[in-house]
Amino acid sequence: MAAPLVETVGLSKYFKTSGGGLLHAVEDVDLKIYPGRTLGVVGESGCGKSTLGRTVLRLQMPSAGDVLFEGESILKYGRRRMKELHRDMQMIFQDPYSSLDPRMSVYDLVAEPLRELGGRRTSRAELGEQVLGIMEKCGLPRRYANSYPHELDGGRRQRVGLARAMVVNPRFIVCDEPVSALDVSIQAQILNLLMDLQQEHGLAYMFITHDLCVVRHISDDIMVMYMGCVLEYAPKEELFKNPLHPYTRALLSAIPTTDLSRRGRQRHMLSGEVSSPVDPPAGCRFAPRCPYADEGCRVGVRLEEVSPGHLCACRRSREA
Amino acid sequence: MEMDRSGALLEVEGLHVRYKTKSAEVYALNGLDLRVERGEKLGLVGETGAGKTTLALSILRLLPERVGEITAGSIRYEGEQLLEQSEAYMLGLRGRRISMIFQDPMTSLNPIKTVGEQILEVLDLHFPGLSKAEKLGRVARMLETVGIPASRGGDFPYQFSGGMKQRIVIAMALIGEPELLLADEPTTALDVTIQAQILEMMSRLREEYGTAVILITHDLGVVAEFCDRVAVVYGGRIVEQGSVEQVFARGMNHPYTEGLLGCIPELDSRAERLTPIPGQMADPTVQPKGCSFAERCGRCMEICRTRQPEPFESEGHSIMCHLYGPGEV
Repeated sequence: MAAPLVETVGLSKYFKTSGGGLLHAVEDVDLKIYPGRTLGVVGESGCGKSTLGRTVLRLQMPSAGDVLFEGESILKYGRRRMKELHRDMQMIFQDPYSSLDPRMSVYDLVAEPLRELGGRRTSRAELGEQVLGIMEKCGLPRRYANSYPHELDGGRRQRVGLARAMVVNPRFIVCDEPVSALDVSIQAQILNLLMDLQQEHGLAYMFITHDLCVVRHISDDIMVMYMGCVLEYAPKEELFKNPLHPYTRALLSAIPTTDLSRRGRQRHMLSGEVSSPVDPPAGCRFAPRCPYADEGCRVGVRLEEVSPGHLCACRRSREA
Repeated sequence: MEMDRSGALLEVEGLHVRYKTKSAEVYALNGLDLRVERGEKLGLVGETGAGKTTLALSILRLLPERVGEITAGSIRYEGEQLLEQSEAYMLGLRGRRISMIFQDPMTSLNPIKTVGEQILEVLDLHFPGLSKAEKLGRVARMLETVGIPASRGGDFPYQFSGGMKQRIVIAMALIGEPELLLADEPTTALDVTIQAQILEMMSRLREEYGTAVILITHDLGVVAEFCDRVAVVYGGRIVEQGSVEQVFARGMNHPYTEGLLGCIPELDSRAERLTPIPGQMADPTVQPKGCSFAERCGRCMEICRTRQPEPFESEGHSIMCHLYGPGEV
């Protein structure tokens, strides 16, 4: 396989809390994202998946570890280099409404990244061609150029967000829950669009979501996070066929489905809720909710390759 | 199961609701018919703007004043016509005989009152005859029932997680022991593992109290797992209803339901591409002459644009579409 486009090594991000504690938002994450492929990051709210996405783009500095783009660490880049880099690395957000300036027209919103990051001077006509071209590609006909975000529905707003990311012709996009706020029929349109753009431009995606059905649909590899840590990391088919971590199994069995044959299935119900990520105790973060946890789990656990390409952070996964 | 005169717990017939804004009139419900039996779990599904929440608010007569208006139709609850009752009557009904839980538990709790006090409020209002000790005992038992230690009744909402807040809201809704619970997207804001816990708890409570539930959601999976019956709302009408088995068996469906089912990436499916429903939800400020789904329907016929279809029913499975009618199928 080609060299990874984006890679992190031992990436961690901590936040100081007002109480003087340390919130472990992301802890020791290694990941590799290849050109033209999608890494799905799944986990429940507060598990650190959005922080991970923002740290990968260096929208915030990591507390430890490294981020590599095409094999080169981006952490020592200055302002200028970072600006150039953000032409290659873009992001789209969950709530397109709060991420768009309400006083800018669709045209200006899509043109803004070009003006900010464009580098080379372009004539007005050339800029116009590019903006309208990318709008069209993202399913926004010309007539929306003079509309404002409040006049658009959720799906179209998300298309504007996507056009803003696409207009600088990036190679990597972090998609942070881009379809979670949309109705299913609109969600399907946006997912199809994302996949078409990927095929056409060879884009790499980091797709952050809590929805396992969506992640399964769009990803090549999947990473399951819990309280900042990676619990399982595997190619999509492998993960769904052979989930090893008790948390992954619980997640999979909790998904409601319209498939009636699965209605009476055995569920791995979890008790309790996510504990606090502030100064977490040593050992497996999932242990307090895990039905299989024993004393050994509270000591320490490492992400290990269980079979080729399939990593799991559970000391008992080998026993099962 | 006990039966009253009409049999049904709730009967909504030909309900029309209109919202008046400065610039336009929005036709939210356009002749909606719905029956809910005692103790039944009914899933009400549809996209944003289909009229799901409007229906719930109409039943409780909580439509925004002067803006929302019921222009025609009837709502009968246990045989009584709700639209003709006084406000005082409705006050005695809300929270006692019909309860509602809202999507966002964060905004439906009072941040400066303990959760125990807030649950107690319902008893103070509807059961003034009970002694203080009896009321406190009921609150404690209710908290335990929804899986929260009674000792936490003195805590404030901010001290609870999202899932626990939703349990508290459910406790508030159930302490009056209503016959009908309107649950508007009760798990949408929650994570899947917590959602599974809440749905299981709601099923258990329903067994215990025999409460009928109208579960309003856009998540077809939740309906398939939790409900007995499904009603699909589009353009302010029920376009299809039937048992979960009938609707999700992928046999005979309304084209809109088919479309919805085609949009969800299923866990076991191999499909490379999803098939979205083309177009957008019909403009609710114009009343279409024919079927409101006609513009987006792949099987639209001449008649669909000119005449409103009648529901076609077979064995309790009813579909409102010109494709189905006597002599066809």
